[in-house]
Amino acid sequence: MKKINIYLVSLLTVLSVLTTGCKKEFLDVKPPTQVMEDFFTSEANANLAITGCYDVMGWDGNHNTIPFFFGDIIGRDGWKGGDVGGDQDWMNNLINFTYTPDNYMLNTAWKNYYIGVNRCNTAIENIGKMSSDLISDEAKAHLMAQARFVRGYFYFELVKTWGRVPLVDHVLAPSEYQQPLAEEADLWKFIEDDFKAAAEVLPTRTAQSAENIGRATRGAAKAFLAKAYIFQKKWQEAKETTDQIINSSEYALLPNYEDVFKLENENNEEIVFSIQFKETGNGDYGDENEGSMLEVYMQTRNHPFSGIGGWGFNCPTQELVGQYEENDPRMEATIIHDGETLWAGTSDESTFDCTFPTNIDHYSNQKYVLPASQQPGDFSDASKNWIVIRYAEVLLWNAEAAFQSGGDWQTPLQQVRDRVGLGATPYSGIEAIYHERRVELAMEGHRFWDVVRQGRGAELYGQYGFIEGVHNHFPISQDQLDLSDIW
Amino acid sequence: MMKNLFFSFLLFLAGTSLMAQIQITGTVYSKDSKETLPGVTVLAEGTNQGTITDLDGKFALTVNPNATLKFSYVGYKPVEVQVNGQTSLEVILEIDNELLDEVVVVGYGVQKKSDVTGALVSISGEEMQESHQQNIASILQGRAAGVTVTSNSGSPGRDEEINIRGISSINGSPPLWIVDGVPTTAGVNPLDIKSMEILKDASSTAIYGSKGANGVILITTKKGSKGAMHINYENRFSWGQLYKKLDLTTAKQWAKLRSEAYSNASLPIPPSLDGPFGDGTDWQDAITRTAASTNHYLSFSGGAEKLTWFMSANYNDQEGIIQKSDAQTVDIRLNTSTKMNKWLKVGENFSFSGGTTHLINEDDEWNAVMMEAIAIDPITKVKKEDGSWDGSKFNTIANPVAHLDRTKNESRDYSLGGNVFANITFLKDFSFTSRFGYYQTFSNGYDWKPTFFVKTGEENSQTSVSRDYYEGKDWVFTNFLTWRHDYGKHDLKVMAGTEAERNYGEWFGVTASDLISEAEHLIFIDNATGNQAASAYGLASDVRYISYFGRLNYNFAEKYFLTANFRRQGSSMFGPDNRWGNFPSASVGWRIDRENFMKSIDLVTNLKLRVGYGMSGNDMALQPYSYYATSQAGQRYVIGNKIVDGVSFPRIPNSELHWEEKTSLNVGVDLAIWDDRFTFSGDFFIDKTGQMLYDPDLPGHVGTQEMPFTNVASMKNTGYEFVVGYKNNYKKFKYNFKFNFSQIKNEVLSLGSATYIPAVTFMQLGYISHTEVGHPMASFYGYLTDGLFQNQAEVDAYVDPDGNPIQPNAAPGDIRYKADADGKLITDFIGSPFPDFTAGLNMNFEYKGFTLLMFFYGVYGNEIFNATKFYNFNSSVRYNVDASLMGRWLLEGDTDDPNMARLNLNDANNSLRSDRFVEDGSYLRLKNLQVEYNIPEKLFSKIDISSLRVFVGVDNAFTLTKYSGFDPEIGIGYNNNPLDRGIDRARYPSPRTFYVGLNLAF
Repeated sequence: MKKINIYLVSLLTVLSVLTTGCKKEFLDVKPPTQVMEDFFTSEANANLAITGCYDVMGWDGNHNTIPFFFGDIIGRDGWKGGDVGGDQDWMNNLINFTYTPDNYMLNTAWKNYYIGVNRCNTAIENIGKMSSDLISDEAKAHLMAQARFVRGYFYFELVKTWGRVPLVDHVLAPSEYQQPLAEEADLWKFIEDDFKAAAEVLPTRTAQSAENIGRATRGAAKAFLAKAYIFQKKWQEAKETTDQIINSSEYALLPNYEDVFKLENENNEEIVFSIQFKETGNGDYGDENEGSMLEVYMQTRNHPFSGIGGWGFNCPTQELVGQYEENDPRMEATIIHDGETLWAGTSDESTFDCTFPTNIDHYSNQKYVLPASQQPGDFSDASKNWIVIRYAEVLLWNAEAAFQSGGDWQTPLQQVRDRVGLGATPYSGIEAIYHERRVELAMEGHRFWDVVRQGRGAELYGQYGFIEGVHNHFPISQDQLDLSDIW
Repeated sequence: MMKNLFFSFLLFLAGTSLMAQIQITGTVYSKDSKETLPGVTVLAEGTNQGTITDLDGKFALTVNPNATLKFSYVGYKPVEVQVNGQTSLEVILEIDNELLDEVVVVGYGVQKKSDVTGALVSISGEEMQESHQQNIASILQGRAAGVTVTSNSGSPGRDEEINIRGISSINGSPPLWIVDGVPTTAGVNPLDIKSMEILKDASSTAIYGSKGANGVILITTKKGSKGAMHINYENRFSWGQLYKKLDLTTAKQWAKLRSEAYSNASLPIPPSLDGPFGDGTDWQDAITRTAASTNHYLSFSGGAEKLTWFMSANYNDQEGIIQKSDAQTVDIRLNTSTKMNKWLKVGENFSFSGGTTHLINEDDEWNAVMMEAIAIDPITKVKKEDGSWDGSKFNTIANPVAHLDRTKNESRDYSLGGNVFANITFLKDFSFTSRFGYYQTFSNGYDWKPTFFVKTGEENSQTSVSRDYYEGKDWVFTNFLTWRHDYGKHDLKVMAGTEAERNYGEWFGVTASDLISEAEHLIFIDNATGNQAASAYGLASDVRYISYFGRLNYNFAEKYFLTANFRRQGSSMFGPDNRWGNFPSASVGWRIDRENFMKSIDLVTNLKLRVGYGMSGNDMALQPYSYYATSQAGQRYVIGNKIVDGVSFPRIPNSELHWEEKTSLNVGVDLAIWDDRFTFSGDFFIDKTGQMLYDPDLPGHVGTQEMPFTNVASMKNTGYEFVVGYKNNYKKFKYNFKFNFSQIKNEVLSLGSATYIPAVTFMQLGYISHTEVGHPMASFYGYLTDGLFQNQAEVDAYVDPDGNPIQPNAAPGDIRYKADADGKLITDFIGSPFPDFTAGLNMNFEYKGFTLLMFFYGVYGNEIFNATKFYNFNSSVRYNVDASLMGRWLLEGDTDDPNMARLNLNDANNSLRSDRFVEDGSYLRLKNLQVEYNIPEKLFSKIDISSLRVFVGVDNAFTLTKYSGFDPEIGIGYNNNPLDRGIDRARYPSPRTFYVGLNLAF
């Protein structure tokens, strides 16, 4: 018995030690992914965080919805289109100015923009804290400048769409979650400051190496700064800033208008800033790939697009087509007529059938069409970049700002017209500029925003229900209103 | 010479006294069986004279004429008889039910059933096996009060949802499965089960700490026993069919309705709708089949002096009623136990389970095959004349037969493991158990997409191949010491132990595209020309626990019982400040029938009152590492014309996260009368789950992608359940009824800062389910219909206080929705998937070797959101519709049924989320009907077998229900969201299955 007892006691002791000895350390498990505390420890990692900021620009929920759905369709340059009966119904109320805060797209875009802002704030805060032994001052400044640029882009879209929005310039602690709506003036100043700071550090377009194409450039920062001035009607500043861009000789208009939008000419010298897309080719859908959905959205429904039919949204209106002057080649480059044949003589030759019930005027958007040889394997994965600002618009801003502040507006305007072989404008005064904007930048998502910032909302859209002062901005989504204690 | 004389004298004296005694003989009988009882101890009280009865129950003893004889035998009540000069006795002994108590398995030990103070259900292996089914969860449905089993799909390889006492958490509440003392997720073959205990209340489950909140299912598999080897073989052959088809329109009818939809929308009728059409395609027939399944089971068990062993093997091949879906599994079990010596017993339990499953797409409302079959129009054929697939000209629904044809999804899963244990008994009262359990799982997924063309929009020009892999390693090391002692009437048992556990999982997957060939033997990643750009993922997770636990059992005179449990558990899931939790519980019991005032009432063999209270935890909702701000890669962008990776931090960490806590109060009563012929057990409970994890939306400007989880929500479940049993026999006819009933009421108490969770959407209907404070979770939500507008005047009259039309786009024949005083359409709760009560009735009749089994299961008061009506009762007739739609609204006064609204291709009014989709889901189902015949021995006496039984039966023989869809049993939706329940998205129906089989025992 005694022997057994000794064995037992020792066995019990050993076992209890085994199970209780490794107490603390046993429960400390390191996660298999890096955590924020350990992440910002190298330039490579900091760069990854910056890429994460750019990534949001390419999401489907904001960039491709607000500009062309809101810009072109509400702006009456394009019919909504789509399938008969019940396709993207959330658009209907927006088009008729009968929308209410519970329109779900208002919520999605808002959230996505702020996710982008948060990523930028996180990068700015954490990269800012990195010491010089972890990252060189030069690299640090470049990365911070990019983060500020991207943040400026998102805030621009927020203010343009909603007007007064919360100003969040750092990662919020739980006690700060309730934020007031900032004044527009403060928001614009914040945007201006971001682009100004970015412009100081970012490289110029020509100085940017090929492996960095797509990142923000000095010219792009200045162009957005100019755009911010234009929207605030700060004409003097707008003129000065666009003058700087023009005088930098970094950009030029392509001789052939059509070439600007071709896939083979991406990031050409006329592009000031575009959101980059590339066919990913792995069959992933939607936001999982780095391609875009814009092409399938705007292909006519009767035209095959990478295995399915196009979705046929944003069909140019007769009103827009009627705007073009008689010899304006821009019409042919922008509009596909019903029965028109493109890429004749090549293997991509294709005749377009633009007749489907929701396409009232039987036209289709040519700027976002891809020939069969360039179509992606998956329809959500097209390679064509989304042009946000191009040099032609910089010239037109220059013209508009000059006009409003008493300067030479004819020269920049004529430059744009010269490119397409048109003589002097048949319109006079500000009408000339307004007209030129409409036909030069048609179907690129600018129309509605232009009209509203120019104060012509009631004039042009009053018949559809637009009320000045009411419909200049969209309402904050009901879901967000519900989550706020103070708005 | 004198010595001899002395001894003789002593002998004489002895002999004299001996000669004063008498010899008694007699026989001892059993009262119940009327048979003689061998081995009964007969003792003359006050002496050491005794004997035992022989094989015929007879005894002979020499005693004093006025002695008292005491007869005792294990399991029987002892009897005392005064001799009083009698020489021949007939003694009758009665079974003592109390001593023949079953022993049930409780956490970390066993307990006599009569001592149990918590809410516990015990089901024997025989009960599990009597209906010869292969799926434990399916067998459990309706058999244990308070245990609700819902099948989420009728396809092989899909699982059931088991909830013990309702849903305890908005994050789901699966119970903890323990097999032979080790927690595991591997399944168990019912034929391997010796017994199953289900612990329902916190006083029983608190000992399991942070995993016990949702109830615990303890399974003990069969072990060997000393004696000759037993061999058991059982097979089952079954055929399943679709029980109910939807009555959809023929091609001719559909063309007529669709044409009307066009003309009502003032659109020209397309020529594709010109007839003549006949009946068209019956798509439901086209994708279903009679499913043939087989099961074979073989087990060996036996034991020698020191070693007992049990071994089994099972092969199951199951087809689903929708083509292509099937599953094959092989299960092997080996249990051994060796009594090394008086104080040491060691053993192992090992099991292997492996199988292949072919799944069809039933995973999302856009691509599920069953949905395609009811939505695609009947005019489209399965194949065109030239033999190629036909695609619909009328809608975008894919051809389901073609879809099945190109489905090539296979999953191969293996799991093996078990445990080794040692049990040491020492110093009479001590018992020490050490057990190490280990399970290893491998799961392999194979999927590839071929090229195909059905029509424009239903095509694929890029092949792709996917391969997924998961490996899990779980181990648990448990040590506990038990001590018990009887101090007269005080019976004390103390148990204390520790446990360490680790759950490790690793997974990765690759998808590559553009295979060089679609030949089956070439489908590998290496043959994908796009494999340089393959998308890949891979990660791991590691969760660990350490626990200390203890229990105290005390009873006084076997009348008053007290059980107290405690567990302290640390988990690696939580931040360093919140790692440890304490889970105490206690329960008391009172055997009222053992009180003196009840002793005389022979009628009552058991009357026990139980009260328990305790706290258990639930950590299943949490993702590991939630208290870190983990980075997420894959945030890609295109820079330098190349896709480059980026990183973000999608989640705000919450270092204060801890487990959900459930406190519960249980009051129960057990009653048994008439020699246990009538039994009753009822429980009433209140469960409150607090600290429920929920991730309420933060304002958008905070910019998080994933909302952080916080322990903010709480929910309450109150209910009662009871089981009533009655068994008896009339001569050779035996019968046995068991009825159980359960009623549970669920209420969400708080969701933190949110008032509701907009839980579930369906297509364009938007959110159809809300989980809101003050209501049961997952309740349906939508507009309220108010009949149809019968004429234009009614439409015009439906205005708000300012005179604006409330439904400006409506026309006569369209649905009118209720509006409030301001003219705004009302949205409100329109139904709940939770039943008012569930009940099960098991009937067992036996006569001369024949056994008839009938098992009914009923659910009452639950509602179903019939989402299939979005297709089959849709004004645009975009999809196939129900044949009853031939009675749609045409003229004023035709009908007021919101499901019969007027047809209109451009309808924007009649397919809003509303109560027209909600139906009564109550049903009564004859779940099992079986006849079994135990072939009499004399027919096979020449062969050396001990029993041969044959059986034939039907599973899901019939279902009585008002529900118009395929099957009123819906369960939870495809992404396992516990808030997505009772929504019928053309759920794969449960078949009616006919089966035959035999069981052979040696």
